[in-house]
Amino acid sequence: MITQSTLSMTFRVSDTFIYNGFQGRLLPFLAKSRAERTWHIIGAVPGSGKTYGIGEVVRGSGMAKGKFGTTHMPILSFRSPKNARSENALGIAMTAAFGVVPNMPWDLRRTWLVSETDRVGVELIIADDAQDLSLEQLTYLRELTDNLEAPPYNRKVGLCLVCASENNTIPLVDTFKIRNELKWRQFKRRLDAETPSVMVSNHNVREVREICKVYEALYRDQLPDLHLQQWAKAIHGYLTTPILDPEGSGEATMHNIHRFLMYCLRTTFELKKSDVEDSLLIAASELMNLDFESVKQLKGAEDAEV
Amino acid sequence: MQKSDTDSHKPGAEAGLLPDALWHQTFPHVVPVIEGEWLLGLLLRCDEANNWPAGAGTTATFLGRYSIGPGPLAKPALYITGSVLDLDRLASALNEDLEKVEGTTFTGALQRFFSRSDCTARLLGLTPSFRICTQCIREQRLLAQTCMYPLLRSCPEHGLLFQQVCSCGTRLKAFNKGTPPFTCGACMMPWHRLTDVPATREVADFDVGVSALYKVLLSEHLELTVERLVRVRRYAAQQVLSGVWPELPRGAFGRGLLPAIANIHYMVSITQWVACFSALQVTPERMIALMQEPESTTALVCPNRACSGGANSRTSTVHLYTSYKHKKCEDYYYCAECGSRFTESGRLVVTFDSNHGSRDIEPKKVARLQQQLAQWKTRLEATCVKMLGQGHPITVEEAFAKAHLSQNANLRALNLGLVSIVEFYAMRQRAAMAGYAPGKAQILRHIYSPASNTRPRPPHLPSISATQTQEIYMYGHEANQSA
Repeated sequence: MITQSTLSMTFRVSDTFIYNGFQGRLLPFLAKSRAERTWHIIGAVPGSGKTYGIGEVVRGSGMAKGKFGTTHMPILSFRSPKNARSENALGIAMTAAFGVVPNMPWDLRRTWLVSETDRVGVELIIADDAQDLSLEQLTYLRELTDNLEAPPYNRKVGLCLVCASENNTIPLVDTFKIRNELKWRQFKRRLDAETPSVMVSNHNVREVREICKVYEALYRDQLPDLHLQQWAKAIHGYLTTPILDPEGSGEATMHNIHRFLMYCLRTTFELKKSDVEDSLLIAASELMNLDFESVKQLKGAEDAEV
Repeated sequence: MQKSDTDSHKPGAEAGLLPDALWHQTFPHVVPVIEGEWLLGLLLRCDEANNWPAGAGTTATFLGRYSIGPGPLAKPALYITGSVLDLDRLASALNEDLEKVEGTTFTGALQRFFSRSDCTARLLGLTPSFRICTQCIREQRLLAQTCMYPLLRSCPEHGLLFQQVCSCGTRLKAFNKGTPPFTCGACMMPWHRLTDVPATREVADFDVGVSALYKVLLSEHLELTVERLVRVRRYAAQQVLSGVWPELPRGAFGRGLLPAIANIHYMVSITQWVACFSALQVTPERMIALMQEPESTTALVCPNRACSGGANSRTSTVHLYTSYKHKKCEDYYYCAECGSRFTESGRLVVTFDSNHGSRDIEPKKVARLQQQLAQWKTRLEATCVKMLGQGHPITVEEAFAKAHLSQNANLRALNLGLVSIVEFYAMRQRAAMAGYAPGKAQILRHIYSPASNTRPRPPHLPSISATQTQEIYMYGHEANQSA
């Protein structure tokens, strides 16, 4: 039975957004793209916090729906449709960003998207998981922005294609290099001249130490003697093993850092201790470095002898 | 390195803005509900605010519980109760209270008035064709609920005649494919540019009066009961007798003030009530007083000694009955148990029991009534058999009518056995219908069930013919004009 006392015994996880090193590189870049209306391809390792950062940018963009019909949405952000390569699928994903939108035929939806994008004041379009976009969908994005730039809208919008990187390369960039058809070239030409594509790196030791400092502040009320900064270098080492850092970048992703620290903090709390011990860090590291091929057996309790 | 509260810079907290958490649950552009607005107008404003593809009735289609084609979707009757639409979803998409959105329909008012949960547009009255007030459109893009009051011809607010036809001659429709909302489908003229046609003084005065009656009936908790219906009938008859009521030619529908079939009281629409009170020149205040007179808590008991609903009964089986005969309006009472009729003083007038123990009625008369009752039973049974064979839904009203029995409520008394005969055959019919294809479901709904006969029916009042006094008309103002 859940009581007040049991609730207070439950470890509380904070949902505060942490402006870590990765976000400190990504968010300003997105803001710059919005301000200058430039086009970029942005890559980062899976688990870096791209989607989280995009969400934070969108929330802080000044978007608002008035009670009397006025709507302002400076950033149109969507996740690229999976296993769907048609323009319509992209259109549906984009319209979902506006709210509840009834079904309508694609020819009407594409017209509505153009007028509505201008109407709500979109300045930047962010496509998450852009590595899943097909050529047709990229062509549609170009068409959308061209229509916005032309009269009567005369609106220039920035575009950021945020992709997952692999082996220190961005697959979408490689595609642009390889494919030389007209449509690809037309799209490539729109990219920013100075920084058409960027790879955002993850956290070094110093940044891991800063993250640990933030976690200390967040969870000190539950673990009074929490002192994580001293373990920053060790943590960085645990999280840059070949399993957790297969590309050998020597950088720890925020996803791994969070999982690692949450395990340590939660277990420390349950053990009714006030600070994380080194043995726990080692246990967490072993747990996280488990090979995915190894399967843990879940067994029932042994029968007691009669 | 800094940590930031995710909500600190959110604009949703400002006044007049929706919280960000509702962003994906609401339309791209939300519109508030205007006081007195009709549901169809709200849907049109949604379409306009969100710039949905022209003329598709997009919001209405999106909210439809069933697949409705574009033609039927534009029918005004659908939006009287709005039962075909998911109003909960609409309220969520507009971030409005469900009560406010439901207030754009007439459902709540009809449910209050008729004390039933399943109300149809018919209970409001014959739904008029789609029409607008140009000034309301001009000011607020408003389609007011008053547009759908059947008896009204002009806007009570602005005194302008409702427009049903565009200046190009095309009838106005709510949804027109290929044209934006609030626009004529043929010539693309915006509705707010249609020419205003002021109503004449007589029409405007009439509409203001009728509008007030509608508002009272739709807003006050005036539950329609059998006694109130009888009370209004009596009042109407008294007005006619006393010559207060002016002569009116027959109305367009050729019916009496309150149709004879008003035995089933929920078949009397609110518009018929308004027409009645309007024809009787009853003000809203007088109407409320008339309808809210204390219910007669009769302490009378059935004087028939053979009746089990007599003095020993815990609950009264006696009900009021008004007779209009020979230019006289008289109150009688009848017993729902034995079917006897008697006066307020307890004088027995009609009874079917030989050992009634009263000196007021002759044994010969009782014998005659018993013989008549036996004939009725035979006739009724034959009728029920015929209805069963023909597959006609067996109900008390239908069976009585086909057997040429009076619809008087006392004939439905339990001890007389007439209703039992109908029940028997209705149950047989229902059992026979079980297992039929879904198409028979409509018939099943109409077949008599005991639950529908729990309340006593008001007695039938013959319509007052022109040769006797004056006729009672419905929609008298239209007939006035034609005269």
